[in-house]
Amino acid sequence: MKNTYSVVLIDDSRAVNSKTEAILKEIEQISAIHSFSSAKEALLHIEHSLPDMIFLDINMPDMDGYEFLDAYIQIKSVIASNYSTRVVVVSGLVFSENLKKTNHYKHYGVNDYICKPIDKSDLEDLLDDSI
Amino acid sequence: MEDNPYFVPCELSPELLKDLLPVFFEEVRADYEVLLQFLGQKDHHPMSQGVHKIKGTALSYGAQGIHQAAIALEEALKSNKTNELEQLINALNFSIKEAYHYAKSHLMIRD
Repeated sequence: MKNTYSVVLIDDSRAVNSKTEAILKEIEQISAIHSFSSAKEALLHIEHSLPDMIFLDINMPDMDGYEFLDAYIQIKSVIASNYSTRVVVVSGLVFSENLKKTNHYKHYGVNDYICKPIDKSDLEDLLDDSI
Repeated sequence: MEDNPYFVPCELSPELLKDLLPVFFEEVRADYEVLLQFLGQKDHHPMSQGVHKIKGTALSYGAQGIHQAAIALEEALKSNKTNELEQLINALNFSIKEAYHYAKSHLMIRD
């Protein structure tokens, strides 16, 4: 059981990341937050340091959320296949197609799908489930 | 605050909103400028990407007017209603300005 969690935020909107970061800072169990507006940059960070939780936007330019997940799975299998990172997909769109795609990654720690806007109770619920 | 249709503050405290809203408006304005650059081009994908981002950002900050204007523009792009785009972009710009003036006068955000 962990007492604190490191978190990576991936959303092409810096303003959205800033808001989520502000909410997370109010939660005691969060020890570190790293925000990225580019999924590619997030991958570079994750290669060196796997977080406990990743909040991932889907619709992003250059590399979208599902392309990120494909690359993330490769990285994780090489550097830390046993490390338990929880990936939370965050989107403004709840399409059955998106849910189906997200389920495809279930075996890789992608077990949550939440809708924008993220609020504090969403985050606290997710952490309660982790403990 | 509830009477203003352009900005419904989200759950953040007024102090945090005051810090974060300049970031929000800077980003939304920059994204709006990108939309203008692509207006008139046949390929609507860059505009769709941009307006989708504005929509999500506005939703996160409770900026209802901007969110609704972005939805209308996104729908027009999806339906290929090119003759409506300019008007809807102007409506989006109006919503951004209204929300900014409201946030500035009610929340005393920085310029």
